[in-house]
Amino acid sequence: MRIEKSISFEELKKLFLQNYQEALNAFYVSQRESFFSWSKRKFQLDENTAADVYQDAILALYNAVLENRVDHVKSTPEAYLFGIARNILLKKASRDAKMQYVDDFSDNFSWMMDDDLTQKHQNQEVKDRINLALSKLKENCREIIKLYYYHRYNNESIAETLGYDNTDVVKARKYQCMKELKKIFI
Amino acid sequence: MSTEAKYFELITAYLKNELTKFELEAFEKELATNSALQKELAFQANLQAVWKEETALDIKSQFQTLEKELSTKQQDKPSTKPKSKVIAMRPILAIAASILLVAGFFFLQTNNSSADPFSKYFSDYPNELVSIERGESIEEQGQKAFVLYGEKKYQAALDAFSSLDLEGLDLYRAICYMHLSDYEKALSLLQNLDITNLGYTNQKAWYSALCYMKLGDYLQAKQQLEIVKNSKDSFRKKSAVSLINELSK
Repeated sequence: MRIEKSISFEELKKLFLQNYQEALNAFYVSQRESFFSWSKRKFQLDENTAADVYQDAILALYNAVLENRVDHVKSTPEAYLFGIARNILLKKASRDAKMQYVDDFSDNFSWMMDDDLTQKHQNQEVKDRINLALSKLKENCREIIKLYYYHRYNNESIAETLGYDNTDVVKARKYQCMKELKKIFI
Repeated sequence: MSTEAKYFELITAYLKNELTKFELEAFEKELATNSALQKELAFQANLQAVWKEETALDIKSQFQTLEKELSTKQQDKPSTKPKSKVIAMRPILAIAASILLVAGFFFLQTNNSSADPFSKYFSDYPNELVSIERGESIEEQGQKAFVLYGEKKYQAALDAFSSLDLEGLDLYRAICYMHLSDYEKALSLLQNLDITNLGYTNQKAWYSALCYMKLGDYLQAKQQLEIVKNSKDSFRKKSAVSLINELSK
Protein backbone atom coordinates (compact mmCIF):
# COMPACT_ATOMS: atom_id res chain seq x y z
CA MET A 1 0.00 0.00 0.00
CA ARG A 2 1.24 3.47 -0.82
CA ILE A 3 -0.13 6.69 0.65
CA GLU A 4 0.31 10.15 -0.82
CA LYS A 5 1.82 12.76 1.47
CA SER A 6 -1.16 15.02 0.86
CA ILE A 7 -3.83 12.42 1.79
CA SER A 8 -7.02 13.77 3.39
CA PHE A 9 -8.41 12.64 6.75
CA GLU A 10 -11.39 11.09 5.02
CA GLU A 11 -9.25 8.91 2.77
CA LEU A 12 -6.90 8.03 5.61
CA LYS A 13 -9.75 6.95 7.87
CA LYS A 14 -11.12 4.73 5.12
CA LEU A 15 -7.76 2.98 4.82
CA PHE A 16 -7.38 2.64 8.60
CA LEU A 17 -10.77 0.95 8.78
CA GLN A 18 -9.89 -1.55 6.07
CA ASN A 19 -6.42 -2.67 7.07
CA TYR A 20 -4.98 -0.64 9.92
CA GLN A 21 -1.56 -2.28 9.98
CA GLU A 22 -0.75 -1.66 6.35
CA ALA A 23 -2.32 1.78 6.36
CA LEU A 24 -0.32 2.84 9.43
CA ASN A 25 2.92 1.63 7.88
CA ALA A 26 2.18 3.36 4.59
CA PHE A 27 1.31 6.60 6.37
CA TYR A 28 4.51 6.29 8.43
CA VAL A 29 6.59 6.02 5.26
CA SER A 30 4.74 8.88 3.55
CA GLN A 31 5.57 11.53 6.17
CA ARG A 32 8.83 10.20 7.58
CA GLU A 33 11.37 12.04 5.49
CA SER A 34 9.86 15.49 5.90
CA PHE A 35 9.25 14.86 9.61
CA PHE A 36 12.86 13.88 10.28
CA SER A 37 14.27 16.90 8.50
CA TRP A 38 11.72 19.22 10.21
CA SER A 39 12.54 17.84 13.68
CA LYS A 40 16.25 18.17 13.05
CA ARG A 41 15.92 21.72 11.74
CA LYS A 42 13.49 23.00 14.39
CA PHE A 43 14.40 20.99 17.49
CA GLN A 44 17.87 19.60 16.71
CA LEU A 45 16.61 16.08 17.48
CA ASP A 46 18.84 13.09 16.91
CA GLU A 47 17.36 10.30 14.79
CA ASN A 48 16.40 8.00 17.68
CA THR A 49 14.48 10.69 19.54
CA ALA A 50 12.90 11.88 16.30
CA ALA A 51 11.72 8.33 15.52
CA ASP A 52 10.30 7.94 19.02
CA VAL A 53 8.36 11.22 18.87
CA TYR A 54 7.23 10.49 15.31
CA GLN A 55 5.83 7.09 16.33
CA ASP A 56 3.99 8.54 19.33
CA ALA A 57 2.58 11.31 17.15
CA ILE A 58 1.25 8.88 14.54
CA LEU A 59 -0.29 6.75 17.26
CA ALA A 60 -2.01 9.85 18.70
CA LEU A 61 -3.25 10.79 15.23
CA TYR A 62 -4.55 7.25 14.70
CA ASN A 63 -6.51 7.43 17.96
CA ALA A 64 -7.87 10.86 17.05
CA VAL A 65 -9.05 9.55 13.67
CA LEU A 66 -10.68 6.47 15.21
CA GLU A 67 -12.42 8.53 17.87
CA ASN A 68 -13.81 10.91 15.23
CA ARG A 69 -11.93 13.81 16.80
CA VAL A 70 -10.66 15.10 13.47
CA ASP A 71 -13.97 15.21 11.65
CA HIS A 72 -14.15 18.99 11.81
CA VAL A 73 -10.44 19.70 11.67
CA LYS A 74 -9.57 21.93 8.75
CA SER A 75 -5.88 20.99 8.45
CA THR A 76 -4.42 18.02 6.61
CA PRO A 77 -3.22 14.87 8.40
CA GLU A 78 0.33 16.01 7.65
CA ALA A 79 -0.12 19.39 9.41
CA TYR A 80 -2.06 17.74 12.25
CA LEU A 81 0.73 15.20 12.75
CA PHE A 82 3.40 17.88 12.97
CA GLY A 83 1.20 19.79 15.42
CA ILE A 84 0.93 16.74 17.68
CA ALA A 85 4.70 16.21 17.50
CA ARG A 86 5.31 19.84 18.42
CA ASN A 87 3.05 19.45 21.46
CA ILE A 88 4.78 16.24 22.52
CA LEU A 89 8.16 17.98 22.31
CA LEU A 90 6.98 21.07 24.18
CA LYS A 91 5.43 18.94 26.92
CA LYS A 92 8.60 16.88 27.14
CA ALA A 93 10.74 20.02 27.48
CA SER A 94 8.48 21.44 30.17
CA ARG A 95 8.37 18.08 31.98
CA ASP A 96 12.15 17.85 31.97
CA ALA A 97 12.40 21.35 33.44
CA LYS A 98 9.86 20.58 36.18
CA MET A 99 11.19 17.14 37.01
CA GLN A 100 13.22 18.19 40.04
CA TYR A 101 10.33 20.22 41.43
CA VAL A 102 7.84 17.37 40.98
CA ASP A 103 10.14 14.94 42.74
CA ASP A 104 10.40 17.24 45.75
CA PHE A 105 6.65 17.76 45.75
CA SER A 106 5.74 14.11 45.69
CA ASP A 107 8.18 13.32 48.48
CA ASN A 108 6.66 15.89 50.83
CA PHE A 109 3.01 16.14 49.85
CA SER A 110 2.08 12.73 48.49
CA TRP A 111 -0.80 12.41 51.00
CA MET A 112 -2.62 15.13 49.02
CA MET A 113 -2.91 12.82 46.05
CA ASP A 114 -4.29 9.80 47.92
CA ASP A 115 -7.85 10.05 46.57
CA ASP A 116 -6.60 10.31 43.06
CA LEU A 117 -4.34 7.34 43.56
CA THR A 118 -7.13 5.20 45.02
CA GLN A 119 -9.32 5.94 42.02
CA LYS A 120 -6.46 5.13 39.65
CA HIS A 121 -5.76 1.94 41.53
CA GLN A 122 -9.41 0.84 41.31
CA ASN A 123 -9.52 1.55 37.57
CA GLN A 124 -6.34 -0.41 37.10
CA GLU A 125 -7.81 -3.32 39.01
CA VAL A 126 -10.85 -3.44 36.70
CA LYS A 127 -8.58 -3.19 33.67
CA ASP A 128 -6.42 -6.04 34.96
CA ARG A 129 -9.52 -8.20 35.43
CA ILE A 130 -10.69 -7.38 31.90
CA ASN A 131 -7.25 -8.23 30.61
CA LEU A 132 -7.35 -11.58 32.36
CA ALA A 133 -10.84 -12.29 31.00
CA LEU A 134 -9.67 -11.39 27.48
CA SER A 135 -6.75 -13.76 27.81
CA LYS A 136 -9.17 -16.60 28.51
CA LEU A 137 -11.25 -15.92 25.42
CA LYS A 138 -10.76 -17.88 22.23
CA GLU A 139 -8.34 -16.26 19.80
CA ASN A 140 -11.00 -15.46 17.17
CA CYS A 141 -13.20 -13.85 19.81
CA ARG A 142 -10.30 -11.70 21.02
CA GLU A 143 -9.59 -10.67 17.46
CA ILE A 144 -13.22 -9.76 16.68
CA ILE A 145 -13.50 -7.66 19.85
CA LYS A 146 -10.19 -5.94 19.19
CA LEU A 147 -11.05 -5.07 15.59
CA TYR A 148 -14.45 -3.79 16.63
CA TYR A 149 -13.69 -1.95 19.84
CA TYR A 150 -10.32 -0.53 19.21
CA HIS A 151 -9.75 -0.42 15.47
CA ARG A 152 -13.40 0.48 14.83
CA TYR A 153 -13.77 -1.92 11.93
CA ASN A 154 -17.33 -2.20 10.70
CA ASN A 155 -19.01 -5.58 10.31
CA GLU A 156 -18.07 -5.76 6.63
CA SER A 157 -14.37 -5.18 7.25
CA ILE A 158 -14.38 -7.72 10.08
CA ALA A 159 -16.02 -10.30 7.80
CA GLU A 160 -13.41 -9.59 5.13
CA THR A 161 -10.45 -9.71 7.54
CA LEU A 162 -11.48 -12.72 9.57
CA GLY A 163 -13.20 -14.67 6.83
CA TYR A 164 -16.79 -14.70 8.07
CA ASP A 165 -19.50 -15.51 5.56
CA ASN A 166 -21.46 -12.31 5.95
CA THR A 167 -22.06 -9.35 8.22
CA ASP A 168 -24.95 -11.00 10.04
CA VAL A 169 -22.60 -13.73 11.23
CA VAL A 170 -20.18 -11.04 12.45
CA LYS A 171 -22.93 -9.22 14.29
CA ALA A 172 -24.06 -12.37 16.07
CA ARG A 173 -20.51 -13.53 16.78
CA LYS A 174 -19.55 -10.12 18.17
CA TYR A 175 -22.44 -10.22 20.59
CA GLN A 176 -21.74 -13.83 21.62
CA CYS A 177 -18.07 -12.99 22.22
CA MET A 178 -19.00 -10.03 24.41
CA LYS A 179 -21.37 -12.20 26.42
CA GLU A 180 -18.64 -14.80 26.82
CA LEU A 181 -16.17 -12.13 27.91
CA LYS A 182 -18.55 -10.76 30.49
CA LYS A 183 -19.26 -14.26 31.79
CA ILE A 184 -15.55 -14.81 32.36
CA PHE A 185 -15.15 -11.31 33.78
CA ILE A 186 -17.89 -11.75 36.38
CA MET B 1 -33.77 -7.45 20.33
CA SER B 2 -33.12 -8.07 24.04
CA THR B 3 -32.46 -5.12 26.34
CA GLU B 4 -28.88 -6.29 26.72
CA ALA B 5 -28.32 -6.41 22.97
CA LYS B 6 -29.92 -2.98 22.58
CA TYR B 7 -27.60 -1.53 25.23
CA PHE B 8 -24.65 -3.18 23.56
CA GLU B 9 -25.24 -1.45 20.22
CA LEU B 10 -26.19 1.85 21.84
CA ILE B 11 -23.16 2.05 24.10
CA THR B 12 -20.83 1.11 21.29
CA ALA B 13 -22.24 3.89 19.14
CA TYR B 14 -21.91 6.29 22.10
CA LEU B 15 -18.28 5.37 22.70
CA LYS B 16 -17.53 5.72 19.00
CA ASN B 17 -19.12 9.20 18.93
CA GLU B 18 -21.59 7.96 16.37
CA LEU B 19 -24.86 9.08 17.99
CA THR B 20 -26.78 12.01 16.54
CA LYS B 21 -27.42 15.02 18.76
CA PHE B 22 -30.93 13.80 19.45
CA GLU B 23 -29.82 10.22 20.20
CA LEU B 24 -27.04 11.51 22.43
CA GLU B 25 -29.42 13.60 24.51
CA ALA B 26 -31.79 10.68 24.93
CA PHE B 27 -28.90 8.37 25.83
CA GLU B 28 -27.51 10.71 28.47
CA LYS B 29 -30.95 11.22 29.97
CA GLU B 30 -31.44 7.46 30.25
CA LEU B 31 -27.93 7.03 31.58
CA ALA B 32 -28.55 9.41 34.48
CA THR B 33 -31.18 7.10 35.98
CA ASN B 34 -30.48 3.62 34.60
CA SER B 35 -27.91 1.77 36.71
CA ALA B 36 -27.72 -1.26 34.38
CA LEU B 37 -26.82 1.05 31.54
CA GLN B 38 -24.21 2.80 33.70
CA LYS B 39 -22.65 -0.55 34.58
CA GLU B 40 -22.57 -1.67 30.97
CA LEU B 41 -21.06 1.62 29.86
CA ALA B 42 -18.33 1.38 32.49
CA PHE B 43 -17.48 -2.13 31.36
CA GLN B 44 -17.27 -1.23 27.68
CA ALA B 45 -15.31 1.96 28.37
CA ASN B 46 -12.79 -0.03 30.39
CA LEU B 47 -12.62 -2.64 27.67
CA GLN B 48 -11.82 0.04 25.14
CA ALA B 49 -9.14 1.49 27.42
CA VAL B 50 -7.55 -1.94 27.83
CA TRP B 51 -7.36 -2.42 24.06
CA LYS B 52 -6.02 1.08 23.60
CA GLU B 53 -3.11 0.38 25.95
CA GLU B 54 -2.40 -3.08 24.59
CA THR B 55 -2.63 -2.12 20.94
CA ALA B 56 -0.53 1.00 21.45
CA LEU B 57 2.33 -1.30 22.43
CA ASP B 58 1.76 -3.51 19.38
CA ILE B 59 1.64 -0.55 17.01
CA LYS B 60 4.71 1.03 18.55
CA SER B 61 6.65 -2.18 18.09
CA GLN B 62 5.34 -2.44 14.50
CA PHE B 63 6.73 1.08 13.89
CA GLN B 64 10.04 0.21 15.49
CA THR B 65 10.48 -2.75 13.15
CA LEU B 66 9.55 -0.60 10.17
CA GLU B 67 11.92 2.15 11.28
CA LYS B 68 14.76 -0.34 11.56
CA GLU B 69 14.07 -1.56 8.01
CA LEU B 70 13.87 1.97 6.63
CA SER B 71 17.07 3.18 8.24
CA THR B 72 18.94 0.05 7.11
CA LYS B 73 17.73 0.66 3.56
CA GLN B 74 18.82 4.27 3.81
CA GLN B 75 22.29 3.30 4.99
CA ASP B 76 22.64 0.80 2.14
CA LYS B 77 21.71 3.43 -0.46
CA PRO B 78 24.74 4.66 -2.41
CA SER B 79 25.45 8.36 -2.13
CA THR B 80 23.96 10.34 -5.02
CA LYS B 81 25.81 13.58 -4.52
CA PRO B 82 26.52 15.25 -7.90
CA LYS B 83 30.12 15.61 -8.97
CA SER B 84 31.38 19.13 -9.17
CA LYS B 85 33.06 18.71 -12.56
CA VAL B 86 31.66 21.07 -15.20
CA ILE B 87 30.66 19.09 -18.29
CA ALA B 88 28.28 19.47 -21.17
CA MET B 89 24.96 18.39 -19.62
CA ARG B 90 22.55 18.48 -22.52
CA PRO B 91 23.47 15.17 -24.24
CA ILE B 92 23.83 13.42 -20.88
CA LEU B 93 20.42 14.66 -19.77
CA ALA B 94 18.88 13.40 -22.98
CA ILE B 95 20.38 9.93 -22.46
CA ALA B 96 19.41 9.93 -18.78
CA ALA B 97 15.87 10.94 -19.66
CA SER B 98 15.49 8.06 -22.10
CA ILE B 99 16.97 5.60 -19.59
CA LEU B 100 14.59 6.87 -16.93
CA LEU B 101 11.67 6.58 -19.29
CA VAL B 102 12.48 2.96 -20.10
CA ALA B 103 13.35 2.13 -16.48
CA GLY B 104 10.18 3.86 -15.31
CA PHE B 105 8.13 1.85 -17.74
CA PHE B 106 9.61 -1.42 -16.49
CA PHE B 107 9.30 -0.26 -12.88
CA LEU B 108 5.63 0.46 -13.33
CA GLN B 109 5.07 -2.79 -15.16
CA THR B 110 6.68 -4.91 -12.47
CA ASN B 111 5.63 -2.80 -9.53
CA ASN B 112 1.99 -2.54 -10.44
CA SER B 113 1.74 -6.21 -10.99
CA SER B 114 3.88 -7.84 -8.34
CA ALA B 115 5.76 -6.17 -5.47
CA ASP B 116 3.17 -3.71 -4.26
CA PRO B 117 0.03 -5.82 -4.53
CA PHE B 118 1.66 -8.67 -2.62
CA SER B 119 2.57 -6.63 0.43
CA LYS B 120 -0.74 -4.83 0.19
CA TYR B 121 -2.78 -8.01 0.25
CA PHE B 122 -0.69 -10.49 2.23
CA SER B 123 -1.69 -10.89 5.86
CA ASP B 124 -1.82 -13.84 8.24
CA TYR B 125 -4.83 -16.08 8.57
CA PRO B 126 -6.04 -16.06 12.18
CA ASN B 127 -5.61 -19.17 14.26
CA GLU B 128 -8.81 -21.19 14.13
CA LEU B 129 -7.43 -24.56 15.04
CA VAL B 130 -6.26 -24.28 18.62
CA SER B 131 -7.77 -22.34 21.49
CA ILE B 132 -5.10 -20.44 23.39
CA GLU B 133 -5.46 -19.60 27.03
CA ARG B 134 -2.95 -16.86 27.57
CA GLY B 135 -1.64 -16.02 31.00
CA GLU B 136 -1.73 -19.62 32.13
CA SER B 137 0.97 -22.20 31.76
CA ILE B 138 1.07 -23.33 28.17
CA GLU B 139 1.47 -27.07 28.18
CA GLU B 140 -0.04 -28.06 24.92
CA GLN B 141 2.36 -28.20 22.02
CA GLY B 142 -0.38 -26.88 19.74
CA GLN B 143 -0.87 -23.83 21.91
CA LYS B 144 2.86 -23.14 21.92
CA ALA B 145 3.02 -23.36 18.15
CA PHE B 146 0.13 -21.00 17.62
CA VAL B 147 1.42 -18.55 20.21
CA LEU B 148 4.65 -18.38 18.19
CA TYR B 149 2.60 -17.94 15.02
CA GLY B 150 0.61 -15.14 16.65
CA GLU B 151 3.86 -13.50 17.74
CA LYS B 152 5.07 -13.63 14.12
CA LYS B 153 7.98 -15.93 14.98
CA TYR B 154 7.45 -17.94 11.82
CA GLN B 155 10.56 -20.13 11.82
CA ALA B 156 9.99 -21.15 15.43
CA ALA B 157 6.29 -21.72 14.69
CA LEU B 158 7.23 -23.99 11.79
CA ASP B 159 9.49 -26.02 14.05
CA ALA B 160 6.69 -26.32 16.61
CA PHE B 161 4.13 -27.22 13.94
CA SER B 162 6.27 -30.17 12.87
CA SER B 163 5.24 -32.18 15.93
CA LEU B 164 1.53 -31.54 15.38
CA ASP B 165 -1.01 -33.43 13.39
CA LEU B 166 -4.01 -31.21 12.82
CA GLU B 167 -6.33 -30.93 9.89
CA GLY B 168 -5.75 -27.66 8.10
CA LEU B 169 -2.34 -27.09 9.68
CA ASP B 170 -0.67 -26.89 6.27
CA LEU B 171 -2.43 -23.58 5.64
CA TYR B 172 -0.55 -22.06 8.58
CA ARG B 173 2.68 -23.80 7.57
CA ALA B 174 2.33 -22.32 4.09
CA ILE B 175 1.82 -18.83 5.52
CA CYS B 176 4.98 -19.24 7.61
CA TYR B 177 6.95 -20.23 4.51
CA MET B 178 5.54 -17.21 2.68
CA HIS B 179 6.90 -15.00 5.45
CA LEU B 180 10.24 -16.73 5.07
CA SER B 181 10.08 -16.07 1.29
CA ASP B 182 9.95 -19.77 0.35
CA TYR B 183 6.95 -19.43 -1.98
CA GLU B 184 7.54 -22.74 -3.78
CA LYS B 185 7.39 -24.71 -0.55
CA ALA B 186 4.33 -22.70 0.52
CA LEU B 187 2.62 -23.40 -2.79
CA SER B 188 3.28 -27.12 -2.64
CA LEU B 189 1.77 -27.27 0.86
CA LEU B 190 -1.27 -25.34 -0.33
CA GLN B 191 -1.72 -27.58 -3.35
CA ASN B 192 -1.83 -30.63 -1.08
CA LEU B 193 -4.09 -28.99 1.48
CA ASP B 194 -7.19 -31.11 1.97
CA ILE B 195 -10.13 -28.76 2.26
CA THR B 196 -12.95 -31.29 2.19
CA ASN B 197 -13.91 -30.95 5.84
CA LEU B 198 -12.59 -27.47 6.53
CA GLY B 199 -14.25 -25.51 3.78
CA TYR B 200 -11.01 -23.58 3.20
CA THR B 201 -11.62 -23.16 -0.54
CA ASN B 202 -11.05 -19.42 -0.53
CA GLN B 203 -8.19 -19.59 1.92
CA LYS B 204 -6.36 -22.15 -0.23
CA ALA B 205 -6.94 -20.25 -3.46
CA TRP B 206 -6.16 -16.84 -1.96
CA TYR B 207 -2.77 -17.74 -0.52
CA SER B 208 -1.93 -19.81 -3.62
CA ALA B 209 -2.64 -16.74 -5.77
CA LEU B 210 -0.25 -14.66 -3.67
CA CYS B 211 2.46 -17.32 -4.02
CA TYR B 212 1.98 -17.47 -7.79
CA MET B 213 2.29 -13.70 -7.91
CA LYS B 214 5.57 -13.83 -6.06
CA LEU B 215 6.79 -16.55 -8.43
CA GLY B 216 5.82 -14.38 -11.41
CA ASP B 217 3.06 -16.69 -12.70
CA TYR B 218 0.27 -14.13 -13.07
CA LEU B 219 -1.92 -16.40 -15.16
CA GLN B 220 -2.15 -19.00 -12.40
CA ALA B 221 -2.51 -16.22 -9.83
CA LYS B 222 -5.53 -14.84 -11.68
CA GLN B 223 -7.07 -18.31 -11.99
CA GLN B 224 -6.84 -18.76 -8.22
CA LEU B 225 -8.28 -15.30 -7.64
CA GLU B 226 -11.21 -16.17 -9.90
CA ILE B 227 -11.96 -19.13 -7.60
CA VAL B 228 -12.11 -16.74 -4.64
CA LYS B 229 -14.17 -14.23 -6.60
CA ASN B 230 -16.76 -16.80 -7.69
CA SER B 231 -16.99 -18.63 -4.38
CA LYS B 232 -19.98 -18.39 -2.06
CA ASP B 233 -17.66 -17.76 0.87
CA SER B 234 -16.90 -14.09 1.57
CA PHE B 235 -13.27 -14.58 2.66
CA ARG B 236 -11.10 -12.18 0.61
CA LYS B 237 -13.77 -11.93 -2.09
CA LYS B 238 -13.56 -8.15 -2.27
CA SER B 239 -9.77 -8.24 -2.20
CA ALA B 240 -9.72 -10.81 -4.98
CA VAL B 241 -11.81 -8.55 -7.19
CA SER B 242 -9.53 -5.57 -6.64
CA LEU B 243 -6.40 -7.65 -7.05
CA ILE B 244 -7.68 -9.06 -10.36
CA ASN B 245 -8.26 -5.48 -11.48
CA GLU B 246 -4.77 -4.46 -10.40
CA LEU B 247 -3.20 -7.39 -12.20
CA SER B 248 -5.18 -6.60 -15.35
CA LYS B 249 -3.88 -3.02 -15.56
